[in-house]
Amino acid sequence: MARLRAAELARRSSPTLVAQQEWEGTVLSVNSVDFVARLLDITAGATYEEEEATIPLSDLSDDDRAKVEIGAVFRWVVGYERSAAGTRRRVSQIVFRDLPRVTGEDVDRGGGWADDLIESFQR
Amino acid sequence: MISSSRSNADVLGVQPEGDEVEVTLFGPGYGECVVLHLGAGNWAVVDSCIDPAGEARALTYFERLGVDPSAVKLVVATHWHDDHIRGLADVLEACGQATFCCSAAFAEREFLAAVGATQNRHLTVTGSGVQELHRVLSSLKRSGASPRFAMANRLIWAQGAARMVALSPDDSAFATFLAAIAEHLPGLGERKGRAVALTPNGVAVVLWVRVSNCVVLLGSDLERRGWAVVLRDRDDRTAPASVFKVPHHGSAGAHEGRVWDQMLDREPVALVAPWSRAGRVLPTAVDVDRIAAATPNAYVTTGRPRGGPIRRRTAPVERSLREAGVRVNRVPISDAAVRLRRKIGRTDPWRVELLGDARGIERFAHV
Repeated sequence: MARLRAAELARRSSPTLVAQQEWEGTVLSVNSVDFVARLLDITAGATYEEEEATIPLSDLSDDDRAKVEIGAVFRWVVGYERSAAGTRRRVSQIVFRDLPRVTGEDVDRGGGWADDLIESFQR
Repeated sequence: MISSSRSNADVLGVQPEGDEVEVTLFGPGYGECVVLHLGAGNWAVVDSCIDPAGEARALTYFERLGVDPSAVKLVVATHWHDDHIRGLADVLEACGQATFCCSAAFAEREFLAAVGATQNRHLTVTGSGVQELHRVLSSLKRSGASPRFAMANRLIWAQGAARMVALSPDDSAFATFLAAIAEHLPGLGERKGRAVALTPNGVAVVLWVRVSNCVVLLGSDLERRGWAVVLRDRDDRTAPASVFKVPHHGSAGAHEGRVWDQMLDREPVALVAPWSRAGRVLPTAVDVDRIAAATPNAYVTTGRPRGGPIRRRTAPVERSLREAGVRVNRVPISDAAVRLRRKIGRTDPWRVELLGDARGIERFAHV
């Protein structure tokens, strides 16, 4: 019971992000000022990317700025943050995914897939 | 000059006669797909793009025409870019009787191994051209079907008076292709980003299609260096074409003047599918002038893409975007197309129908 009450208190005291618009983006190009990304509208339930955006690099955290490269994938949430005191603040938050690296296992799997394919094509 | 007509929805659904050749270029503004009727109820699909509902455009067109996809004899992927390959796996699945044809470069183990190694189901909600290709090849493997690999001067398909011959790629393009793959697809220890690279186009498959006196040259995205090789190596029997799908969205980098002089009739019908990405639009104003000067019968499948978002968002969202200095623009996707039909063996010119936003190239406005 005490643990539950503590969790409830923690929840009430931390700000809550309410998403009004959410996109998944892929970086197409980048320069020293901004980057261009193709966007999938998650909020609208889109099934393919219908929009592109030019986004200033200054909108990103230092950590995320280092991840901006062609092909990088991010989630972009526009909405508001409600504080524990009940005040609301508009936010636009872009978070880049920490994409996995190609492993030795991936390379082996890719090679096996290629060999199987070539063999089936030669039959 | 050949006259054109604007077709309404009723006319769109009328099948060609058995003795008519049809060339329809779908170009929604990003992506392209060519649907061919080769006479006698035989169809082919070259590349794939999607319609506004996200469906493969060739399939919705066949449905509209009342054509059973089993009448499709050949599905060709001229190269691996997103704008030419979207929906291709669905097309191939629906067209169960069709032979799949792709560049012989795709048979290179190094390329296939790189494609296989970078697959990651959870990378993005949507796929990329590389993932679509992985789907296509995996589906072929499951079905036990072998692709027809296109190389310069290789006969791809023939029946009766109809022939389809690949004019590219040549062997010399392969090494460049593999070097580019090594650059664009991540290797061991590198991050699996989504493959969105613009290059390479060197191994794109150019197709020469002949049905009796109807000759069509489909330029894919082949760039100038590749065209020089095509001109050097082409078979003398490749008669000049009266229809030209202009390569690479009409870009200067894919323009080779000798193609117009040596491989095409005078004043051919030229078809261009515009392209836009990251604020860059093809054809440029200079490209439009060059193509319009080459033939009075040049058409684009759609007008210049309009700016602005695809849908309105709530006022607070719009305000947040403004404050963040972000511009959102739609990726053009429309039903637009140019459809050509001509009776086999007759001297009548091609009948040109403009669907949706298609127009003469001189009306492709630049701002």
